[in-house]
Amino acid sequence: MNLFTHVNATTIAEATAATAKAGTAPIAGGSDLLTYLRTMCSPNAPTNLVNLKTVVPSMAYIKEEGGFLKVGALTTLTAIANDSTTLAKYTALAQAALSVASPELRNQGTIGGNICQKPRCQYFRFDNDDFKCLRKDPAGTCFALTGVNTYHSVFGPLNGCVAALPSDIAPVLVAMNANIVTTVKTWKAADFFVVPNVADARREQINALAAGEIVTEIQIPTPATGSKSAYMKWSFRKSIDFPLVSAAVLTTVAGGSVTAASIVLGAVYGQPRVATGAQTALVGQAINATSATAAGTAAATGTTVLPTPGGTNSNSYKVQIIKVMVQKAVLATA
Amino acid sequence: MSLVAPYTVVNDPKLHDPMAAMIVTGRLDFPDDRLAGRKLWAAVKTSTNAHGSILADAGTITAVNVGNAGSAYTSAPTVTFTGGGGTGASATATLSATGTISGITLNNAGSGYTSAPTITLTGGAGTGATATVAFTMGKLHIDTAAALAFPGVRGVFHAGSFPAGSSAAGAFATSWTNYGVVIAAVVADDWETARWACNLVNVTYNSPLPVVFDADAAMSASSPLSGRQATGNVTTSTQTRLDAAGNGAAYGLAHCDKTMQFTTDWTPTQQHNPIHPKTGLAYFTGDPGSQTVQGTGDCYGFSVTQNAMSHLNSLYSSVNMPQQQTHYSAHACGGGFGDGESTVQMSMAAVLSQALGGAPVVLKLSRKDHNHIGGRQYDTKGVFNIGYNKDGTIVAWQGGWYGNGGGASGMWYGPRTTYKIPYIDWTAYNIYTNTPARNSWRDVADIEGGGAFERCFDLIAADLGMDPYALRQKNLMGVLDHDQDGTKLIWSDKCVNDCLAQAYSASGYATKWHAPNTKTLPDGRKHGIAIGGRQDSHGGMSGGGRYGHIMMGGTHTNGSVEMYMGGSRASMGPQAAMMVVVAEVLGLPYSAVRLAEWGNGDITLADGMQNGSSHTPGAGSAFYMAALDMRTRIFNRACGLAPLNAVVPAGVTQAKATAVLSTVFPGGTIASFTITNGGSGYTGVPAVTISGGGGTSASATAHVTNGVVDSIVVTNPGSGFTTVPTVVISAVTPDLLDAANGSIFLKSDSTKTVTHATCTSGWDPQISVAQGWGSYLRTAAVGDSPIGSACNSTGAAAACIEVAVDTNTGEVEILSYVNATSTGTTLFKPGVQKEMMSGNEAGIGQWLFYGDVYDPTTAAVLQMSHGCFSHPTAMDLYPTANTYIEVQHNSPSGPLGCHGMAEPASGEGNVIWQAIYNAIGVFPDHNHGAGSPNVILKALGKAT
Repeated sequence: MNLFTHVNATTIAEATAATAKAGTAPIAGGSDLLTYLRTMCSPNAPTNLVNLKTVVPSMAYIKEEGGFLKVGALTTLTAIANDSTTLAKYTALAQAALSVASPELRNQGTIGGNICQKPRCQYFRFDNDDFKCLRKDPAGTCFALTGVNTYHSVFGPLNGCVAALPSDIAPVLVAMNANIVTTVKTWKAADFFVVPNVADARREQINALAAGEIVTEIQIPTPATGSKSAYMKWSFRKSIDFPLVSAAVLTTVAGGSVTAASIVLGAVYGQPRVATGAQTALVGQAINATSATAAGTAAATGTTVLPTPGGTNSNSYKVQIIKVMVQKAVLATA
Repeated sequence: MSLVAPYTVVNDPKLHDPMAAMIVTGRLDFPDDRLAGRKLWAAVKTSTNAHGSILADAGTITAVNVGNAGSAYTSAPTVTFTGGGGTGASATATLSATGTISGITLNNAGSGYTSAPTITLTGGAGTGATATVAFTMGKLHIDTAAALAFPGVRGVFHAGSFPAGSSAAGAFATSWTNYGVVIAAVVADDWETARWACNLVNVTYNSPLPVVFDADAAMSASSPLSGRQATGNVTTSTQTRLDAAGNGAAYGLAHCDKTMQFTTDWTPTQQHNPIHPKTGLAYFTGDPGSQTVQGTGDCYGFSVTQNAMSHLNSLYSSVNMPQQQTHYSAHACGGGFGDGESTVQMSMAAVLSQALGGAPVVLKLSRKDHNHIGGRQYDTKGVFNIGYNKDGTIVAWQGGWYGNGGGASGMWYGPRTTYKIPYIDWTAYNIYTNTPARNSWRDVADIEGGGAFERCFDLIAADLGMDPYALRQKNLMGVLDHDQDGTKLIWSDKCVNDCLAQAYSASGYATKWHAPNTKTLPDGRKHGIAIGGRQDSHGGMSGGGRYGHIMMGGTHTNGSVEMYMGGSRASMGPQAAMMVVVAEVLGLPYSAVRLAEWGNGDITLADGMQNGSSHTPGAGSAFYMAALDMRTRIFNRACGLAPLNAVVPAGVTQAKATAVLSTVFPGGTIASFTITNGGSGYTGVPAVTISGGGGTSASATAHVTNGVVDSIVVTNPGSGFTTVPTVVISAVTPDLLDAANGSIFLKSDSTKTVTHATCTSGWDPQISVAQGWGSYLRTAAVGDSPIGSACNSTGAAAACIEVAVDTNTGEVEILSYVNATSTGTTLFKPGVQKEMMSGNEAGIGQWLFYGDVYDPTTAAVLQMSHGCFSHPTAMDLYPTANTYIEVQHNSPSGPLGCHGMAEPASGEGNVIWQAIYNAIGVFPDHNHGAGSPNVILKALGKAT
């Protein structure tokens, strides 16, 4: 494991001040950060950790307030999945939270951590930094482009990297037009999940947080009347697996037809991918098998299957699964 | 050697109780045991290319030493140096007058040698002469300074730290043929420090050599050499089954109705490796010596294995110690793929400990290192040409088994032991590539062999329009048939037939089976069902060399018996079944049997299997024999205790004797006995009870000839006798007794009882040690083979599995999984059930989830088969869909009629693949990896 110091922050201001120092990172549930440190996979690993769980007042809460569902950044995924309000009105978020890993990890993992996790690529995560990948070193290589890329992007590289977004929560937040409140500003989710260029010191992040900036709250607008949301996740296994394809869908129906549709894919690109073609295909249609299939087909347009020179299985299956997951998610909002 | 900071040599006698340490610690991590705070931790630095070496300065050949002088030489043989990287070395052998090699003179030390060259002696008409090269290694370009300077680091070691050619030097690689081999080790105050400091060890590599990772490519004549074999990348072996006229498969193929060619996919790269990274511990007491000078102290090693003796051998050879000064203890491991085999870790820990003056060192691998070191990855395929008749009779089977990693040889065991096929011509291709450590492994071979075979059966059935079960029944060997090959022995329990029948019945196969790709479920998914089974190579009655060791009496005055596993401890699976054997034989409640040492079944569910691989039944028989001996002893003692000592059975006249005290100063002991009445009608050996006379501890044994007591031998003369004691020879003998539930009673009158507790009260410690038996018919004849015949004794299993395949997503749901596994006689029911449960779990994992993922450029293990979050969980298992059937027969070769379950319980996962075929009409291609939904979609043309 990387060697590090660990301090308990008592206030968010204290945490902010501490994490502003070079080589310092906040830690919440730690389910991702500690495994990252344990593998010693990155030369950029923090050497100081600031514990947010000791911050007062606690950042673990769920409440409806001012037209938003407000979820504290340290709220566990289990709490979100079990929250009746979330399940009833912000269904996709509850479904996404429930789909993460295993009960033990959901009990530990937080919503803030889920949207701040590191890339989930076998080369990035390989122990001892044996593979100098460009998400860790701008002079490095994207090994997955010519190596094992079964789990990777089908919409091409993002800043040269083909790692796919590992977060279950992120596509839901984009689909539901959420705000992400930090110690610095309030982000729109679509802006938050912009992966920095590899030349940027933040190249390992799946979001655009600045150094020392800490997520404090997630705000999801209360869906309009006639709206429903759904999250569909597909992975090789039904438990303890990261998404390989996911679809977050929010539809608003009036008069039997879709008046607004937000369809966002996860795990198929380096950041949440808004399926604009699918949204267009769905708006004005009744939600049924035909329109859902059309939306699925549209969502899978523009894909690029990665080469597999090593003879490993390709990521082409994701194209098929995108169609099915979008179709199922759309139908789930009927 | 690089060594900094003082260290403490542990010399606390409490530490030398290996059993106590073992029991306390569980998995050898020693979190709070008595070593805590005093031990050092080691981690390893590993290679980062697949075929390479460390840059090294040239070394020096200093001498050539005669190893074996050989004989019958008429002239001096030619001395040749090969390997080692250098050139120019030459030497001349000198011949003695008696035709032996008397010496070898080094003429030229040559140059450029970076390792000791190999020396060969040829010619001269003699035989047997060998020689070795004394070599001083040149400097290895490994910079340890930064690691040594890191706080908490106690030492950094590599091959150059030890004398060239020593065991310690050999523990560290200077060249390699796969990614991730051990180059150096760092010892520190804690493991994280050691592991971190490994990153600070700077290794300069030579340019990597060419590599080949793909097994098919490795077979090409133009392939780079992996370096794993002296020549080439492939070895082969063949197996033929001919008719009386000597005709083989070619003849059979020419004399059958139809033929079919079929090539299976390359199966997943299976791992025979525990999830848990391996750990070894070693320390010394007294003088640890060195690699060149033997120490006078003792070395203690701990690790996880199913083969304790092998590890002991590794331990003493690694530290240059006599065997009697090395002590080894293991946790048992095994079960499915729980083969810990941490011998490398333990031996290296011992080397490091020795280098540090004997301080306790724990060497623990990281998960990454664990994925690369000592694993037994293994993937296979079959290429077959099969001849069969229209009625479903298989006539000829020609083709090859291909095993990446050199593991094809064992693949045909299951098929050959299950079905009768007249003509066979099989070739095993053992392929060696630069992917990480590979070896053949028996069960994996059986699984893959069975899986390949079963798929062919299903294809033939489809071609003939037959029910695959009917096809199997048509070709199944009879239960009394002898093995068709090899030793041609009979099976003590040919139970695969019954397993298949019970799986067939319990699953409702008769009404559910349909032709491939013909049934769609109401939800749109495709339905599939299949059946298969195999007489396995495991679960039998070998391991006759194992010992069972039990004790009663002494401080255990409550009738309990204590078991010491010794070498048997390391057998696969738990010892619960052996405890049942002991309890049953002695008539004790299970709770009265205490295991002084215990093992774990690694990832196998708690309490694991009835019997694991072949060793455990052997150990079970050893405990059976030990318990029989103890039964005789305690029954004999019971005969002398009330109320049994007052019973005179019909037909018996009680013998009488008097004691004769010693007249030799100081006296007070019993010198002999005088039989005043030999009695009559004795059917066994009576107890001799000595009481009174003021003395203690005297004991004696009677001898009976033709029902008459004809002598009494003093076994303990006792002490303190002032008058002649009373001697009572019981009328009851042990053969008239039986025992149950902690009481020993007269068979003819069960009201006459004495408890085990009464027997053990005041009883000197009694120890029974017995050796297990091998594979022989012990209790019944089988077919034409009488009691006492050698036999095959193996386990078997069959499965019938139903699946639903979503053709849109490739997802496979196991609708039902019937596992019928033979147990002989079930001794340990919870273990049997859990073994079958974990068998289903492993079967699903092996065929749907597992599969190593390698980087195609380096063959670094990016994802370990079953380790990296790919083990099935309850969410994958659908517990309510599982059915477990114990197929019980009274096996005449095992203790109490049991035999091992072995691995077949986990080996029938291949039926999942068959069921998928039945659902969609095509066998998906694993392509060496997991049978995940993407490969199902690929088979359906929805992915590439």
